Amino acid sequence: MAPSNDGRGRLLGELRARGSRGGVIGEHRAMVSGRLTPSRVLSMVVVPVLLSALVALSLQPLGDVWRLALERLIPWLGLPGPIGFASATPSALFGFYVPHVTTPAPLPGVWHYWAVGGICALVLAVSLVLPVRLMPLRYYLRFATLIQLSSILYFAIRPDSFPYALPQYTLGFLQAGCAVLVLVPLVLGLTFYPFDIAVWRKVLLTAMVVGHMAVLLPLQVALHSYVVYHLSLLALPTMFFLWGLLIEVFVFVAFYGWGMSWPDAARATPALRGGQGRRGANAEGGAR
Amino acid sequence: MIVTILIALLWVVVAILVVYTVRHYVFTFSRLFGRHRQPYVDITVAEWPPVTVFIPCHNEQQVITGSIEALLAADYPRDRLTIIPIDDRSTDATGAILRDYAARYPALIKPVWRTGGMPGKAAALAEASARVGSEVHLVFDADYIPGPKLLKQLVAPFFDPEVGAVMGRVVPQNVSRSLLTRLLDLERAGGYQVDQQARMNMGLVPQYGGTVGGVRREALSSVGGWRTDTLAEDTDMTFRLLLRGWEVVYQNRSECYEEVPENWPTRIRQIRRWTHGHNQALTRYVNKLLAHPGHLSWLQVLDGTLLLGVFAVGPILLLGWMLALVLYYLGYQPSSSIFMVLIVSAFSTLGNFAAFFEVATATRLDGSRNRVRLLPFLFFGFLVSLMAVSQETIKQFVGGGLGWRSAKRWDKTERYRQPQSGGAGTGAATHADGGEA
Repeated sequence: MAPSNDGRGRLLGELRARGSRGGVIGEHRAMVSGRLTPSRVLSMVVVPVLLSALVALSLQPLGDVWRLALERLIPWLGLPGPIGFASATPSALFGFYVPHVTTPAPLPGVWHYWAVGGICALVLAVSLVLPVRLMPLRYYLRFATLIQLSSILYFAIRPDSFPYALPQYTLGFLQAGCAVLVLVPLVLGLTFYPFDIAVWRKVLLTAMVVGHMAVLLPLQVALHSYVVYHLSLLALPTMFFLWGLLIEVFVFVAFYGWGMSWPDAARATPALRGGQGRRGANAEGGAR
Repeated sequence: MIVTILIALLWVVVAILVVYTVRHYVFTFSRLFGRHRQPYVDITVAEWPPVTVFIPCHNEQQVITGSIEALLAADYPRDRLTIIPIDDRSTDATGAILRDYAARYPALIKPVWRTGGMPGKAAALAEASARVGSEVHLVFDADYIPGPKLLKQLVAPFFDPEVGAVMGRVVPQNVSRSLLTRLLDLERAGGYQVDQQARMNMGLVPQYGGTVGGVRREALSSVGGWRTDTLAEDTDMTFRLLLRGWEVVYQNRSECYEEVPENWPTRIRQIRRWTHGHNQALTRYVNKLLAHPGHLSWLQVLDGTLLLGVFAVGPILLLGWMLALVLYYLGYQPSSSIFMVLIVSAFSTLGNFAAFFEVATATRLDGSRNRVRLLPFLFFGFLVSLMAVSQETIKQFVGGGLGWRSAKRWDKTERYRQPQSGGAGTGAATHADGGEA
């Protein structure tokens, strides 16, 4: 019996990719592209929105967990002051509480200038002796030193007019962290979900990124509080610019890179010999 | 008042960064899901036009043998192919190697010897191409190793009479040497696999890259030949062709393999050279482009302008960070969204300002699944690029006024390949075809 049109099309499709001994000839990388099917579009929109909503609804219990964590961490670090709780209401229908540290950070004294200046000198010296192959690290250390020096310069000129305090900083940082957590699924929806990767893997990556950040954020707050409490407000600008949300973006990009290394969901199947057919070396779409 | 101006400036910076980010997102989607344009790439039988392959050389003894051997193995009618290595004052064994090849393949390899005049690749090309009558001029760097099918793939698009230049894909061959070479592989992948192909798909402005490509002689003549007063004769050629109504075609399938810098100082020198040349093109052509010549669409004008500005984005991002810092001290802490734009922009690549998702897409399409995990290290590579580009730009526009550093010397990337046997002096050079000597 002659095959139907669908069957003929499938057969032709198989023949086009059939290699020796029933293997699969992978497309050349210049020709590889994606498939934007309706279900893919749906998964790019619906799943991330649902996950984002789920994260948003989890912010209230997450705030409680953060508060419990900080209530143990802050005294353990020897920092004074209770954990505060401030409400955040992004919309009239939705609000939650965000904890924050109430530890007061001192204005810089002579000792702080010497300590922070000494650290700057040490970091600068390290950047000068690092081998050439670590040049990016050299640049990063010098960049960090520059920001710290700008802070020293500021406090040397206007010591009493620094407009930020540690409690407000920690509150703002965790609020921004909440926004990042809600945005993570949406950004992954635009950048990770379009690929032919199993939906469970996409959801897993989203959960891992959100979970990692949810743990990291209060730890960062505790660490920043510890550093600023001991080194004074001199250290706050460096914490904000170099050790704040930059770390979250770094974490996101690292997980994203890992996720992008995961295999395709729809692997080309060997044409002739079923499970015994030999797959092309680059059947996942990377033939050279 | 000052604060208001600073805030406005910061918003302008953020707006520029957002435009570039959106641009690359559109490119990524076009490459992933758009209809691919790869004109005439499958043609294998045709009335092939006479072709001359130019290889500018200056002290290339380590790599020139590999390049010429690869060209000798190329699938192209021998009676229509001429290989012209241009030896520009080499002081190593390059000249001897070329003489040896010229003796063995006199009808095919016809070196040009330069002992005077302005040195540099652009000057070498200008002088040699003026002597040649072939319809198509292909240009390879001395360290590039073309595959056998490459010449036909690069020549085929010229069957379209509107095509003025063709560019193939450059793929690093020394990828596993260091973190830097791996990061450069990510950068190149983003630039070619996604960026160039997307611009080709969308009918925008694919860039002629000066190597692994070719120019139609008629087009070259119509724009006045190669300019010798630029450090980026390729970018310069792209925009002169564009403004004269010629089409530039990118062939993603046509791969050629190059050496990328293996250490940071070499990389920094390369970046500074590119920056200088690209900024020259920016100042020369941006006004002409924005005047919107009738044959160009608004999208082409927009894409061309953004392409001209890619090396300016580095200093702009640096300005954004400085503004954010100053405003922070003045009590106007940038909002998280502004700050996130500044941070995310730092996970990009040089040369096309491709954001991390574009690079990841390109690497995934390449099948380099392990290498894509290096994505976060783009930040550190970009930090070095950012400083090098900014230093060169400031030096160019402020330090030296607009006086250009002209191409009066050879300024090329260090070679790493070990000298190959088979060149002059080894006495062991034989070719599968038996040679023509």
